[in-house]
Amino acid sequence: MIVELAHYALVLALIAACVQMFFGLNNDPAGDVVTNRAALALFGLVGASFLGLMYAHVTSDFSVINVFLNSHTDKPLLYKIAGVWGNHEGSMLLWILMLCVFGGIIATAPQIGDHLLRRRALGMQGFLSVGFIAFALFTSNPFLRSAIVPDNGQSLNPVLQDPGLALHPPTLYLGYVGFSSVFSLAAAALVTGNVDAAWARVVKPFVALAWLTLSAGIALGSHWAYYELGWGGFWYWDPVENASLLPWLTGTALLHSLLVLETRGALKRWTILLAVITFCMSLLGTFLVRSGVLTSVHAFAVDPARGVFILALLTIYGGTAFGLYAWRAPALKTLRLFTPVSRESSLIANNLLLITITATVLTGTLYPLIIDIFGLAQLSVGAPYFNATVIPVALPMLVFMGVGPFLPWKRAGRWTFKIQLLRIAGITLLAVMVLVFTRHTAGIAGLAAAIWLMAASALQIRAKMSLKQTALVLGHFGLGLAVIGMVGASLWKIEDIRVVKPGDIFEIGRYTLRFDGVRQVEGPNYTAAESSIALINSAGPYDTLHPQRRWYPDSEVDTTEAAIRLRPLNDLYVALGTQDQKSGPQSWVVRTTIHPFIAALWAGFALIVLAGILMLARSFREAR
Amino acid sequence: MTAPKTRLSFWRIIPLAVFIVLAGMLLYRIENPRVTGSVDSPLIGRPLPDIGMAVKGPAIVNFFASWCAPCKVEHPYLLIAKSRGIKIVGVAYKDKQTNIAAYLQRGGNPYVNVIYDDDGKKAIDLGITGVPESFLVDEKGIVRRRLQGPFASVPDILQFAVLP
Repeated sequence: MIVELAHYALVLALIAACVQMFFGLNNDPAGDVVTNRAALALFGLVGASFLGLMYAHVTSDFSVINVFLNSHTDKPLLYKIAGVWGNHEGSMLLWILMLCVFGGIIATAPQIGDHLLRRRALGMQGFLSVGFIAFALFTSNPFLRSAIVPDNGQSLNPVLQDPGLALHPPTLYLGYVGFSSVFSLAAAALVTGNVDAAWARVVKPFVALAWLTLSAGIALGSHWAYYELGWGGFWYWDPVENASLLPWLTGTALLHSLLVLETRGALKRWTILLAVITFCMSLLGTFLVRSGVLTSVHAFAVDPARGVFILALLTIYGGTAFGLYAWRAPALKTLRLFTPVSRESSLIANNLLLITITATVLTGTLYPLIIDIFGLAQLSVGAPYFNATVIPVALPMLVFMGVGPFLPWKRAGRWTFKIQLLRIAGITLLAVMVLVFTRHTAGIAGLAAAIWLMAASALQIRAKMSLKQTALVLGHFGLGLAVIGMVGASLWKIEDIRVVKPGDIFEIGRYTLRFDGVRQVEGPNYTAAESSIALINSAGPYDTLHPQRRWYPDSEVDTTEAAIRLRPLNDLYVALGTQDQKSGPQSWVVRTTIHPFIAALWAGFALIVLAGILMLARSFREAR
Repeated sequence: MTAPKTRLSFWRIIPLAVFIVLAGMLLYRIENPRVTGSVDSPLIGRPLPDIGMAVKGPAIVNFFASWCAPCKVEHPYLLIAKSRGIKIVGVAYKDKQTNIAAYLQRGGNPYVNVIYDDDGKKAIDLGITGVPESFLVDEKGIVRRRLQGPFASVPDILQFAVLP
């Protein structure tokens, strides 16, 4: 019954979205009230629909095909709830829910003073909602029932049974879909023709919220890959990972160009274009994940009909926005009054570098597709390509990021920042002198750029700082810290794979480890081989690690649960491999890795997200 | 509020044009699912260039990498081919030995031998455009077939392994 009500709510939501679109895009000013109410009703209906699906999952109603395919009575409650978005249909519904949340925010946000802008933006948001609700109802309906009620479900992919992954998709989606509001406001501004500082202030909280959640989502995904997938890395340049990186890169560019627009009234067209591109990147990401046109390590049920549908949506929405841009942008006039050495120029340089990286990543991600179209087969360029093309652009960007904030708006005057620059250079030089002993050119270059940026950010700390300045310092410092983690963990990683028997002692880096055998343990819906590995020194064992290999009988999948001992300077990452029958009954393969500075990566990510939160807080304060 | 001027500008159409080309490419890709098939190569009928060991066929020389997603797709087929007695020589393209060891430990090892091509020079000698890519070499060391991209199925690889 509840499932049927949820289903009807989604059908009604489609109607509400049509009303919102129609009145929002119509010229009648009386439509203001109707559009607003439709947006709120839409939010309520989709919210109810989503809760209905969650109810079916929590109560394990296996007559619903979606629950049967993705749930199981043995599953802990948290994963029954996470199971709602752990599959294609449910995650699409979550996507739509986010879309309507942002519709609701646009309808009620007090900072939107211009009624026409609000109505048009809601019209666009309704236009987006219509397409995606139709997509869910016609190709990915989660509420379908089966005639036969199975005794139990087929369970969620065990790899996804992890607290990090319960959080990762909703956070990422909040970011992806958050840019829909920016897109709608940009399209609306193209129609009204008013792109100015006031518009920038309206858009800023939306950009801040979307950017911060997207950053958090990427960080969570990266951390999940690091400890759950058992591959001992944090980024694989996989198409699906790139799909989340692309909107983040353009979103970051947007965040900065918005500053120029807000302060100086410049870069109007560019900012609008970035807003459109960013959401198109989100749509492209959704398309790549769901259509299966690119082979990825991330599995999602693939159906060509869905791919065509999402591509149609991408084309309609992107085409409309880019068309509007081609038609209306020439009317947006900008006064350019700043010199080559100024805050504006440095932000423009930052934007250009970010867009270069975006183009590089996009090309690499779509390379298999392009090759295929010219009659060749599906190939992968992978990590070597991305490392070789992205890093040489990213390093100068870190250097620019250090200098930019010292430059005043409009012009640099008498180069007042010279002394600061010398200080930063001095600190960096000292660091390089210490680093020279590593004799690793790439490592020195990476760390030097990171230290440059961190020193520059630290030198901006004042006794009294506005939220904006604090966000700037934290965000930039955090990125520098994260880069240190990336460089350390990629270039100075130590890895060891061996077959061990109980009692065997082996060394990695400065650690001595002793393998103490494996015992069977029972989990709620799995059994696991849990090994015991002691860290020993001359005085005896001082710590023990318990990496597991879990077997999920319901879905017949095994997963690696690595044990990680995280310390500020490095981690010790131990993963249990398979039993090695050839070397004896008690022999196991053990893989041990040390990633230097990996803690800096997670700390850096945390600072970046914190900077986003401060930006959001600041734009709220301004709006009042 | 004054109505904005509306005229099309050539430069402003570029984003739209780029977008349409991209969408067209994606549509083409969905409408034409990939076909696996061998491609002509100037190498066919010639001896296999030096890859660091003499390959005595019939054998498949398979370029792969641990960072390559399509390689993970064809990996199970390689394992089945191995169990049917097909000799496969692996060439690890631009990868670290430790990564390869972890990759083969996780997924199983279908190769009689793994050769490391860290700097990609062997790939250049053979004209590889990306991974995976496979060559069929006969008993005289002559290249007989070439396949760009992954094997799509077990019959696919078994058929490929039969000397023409």
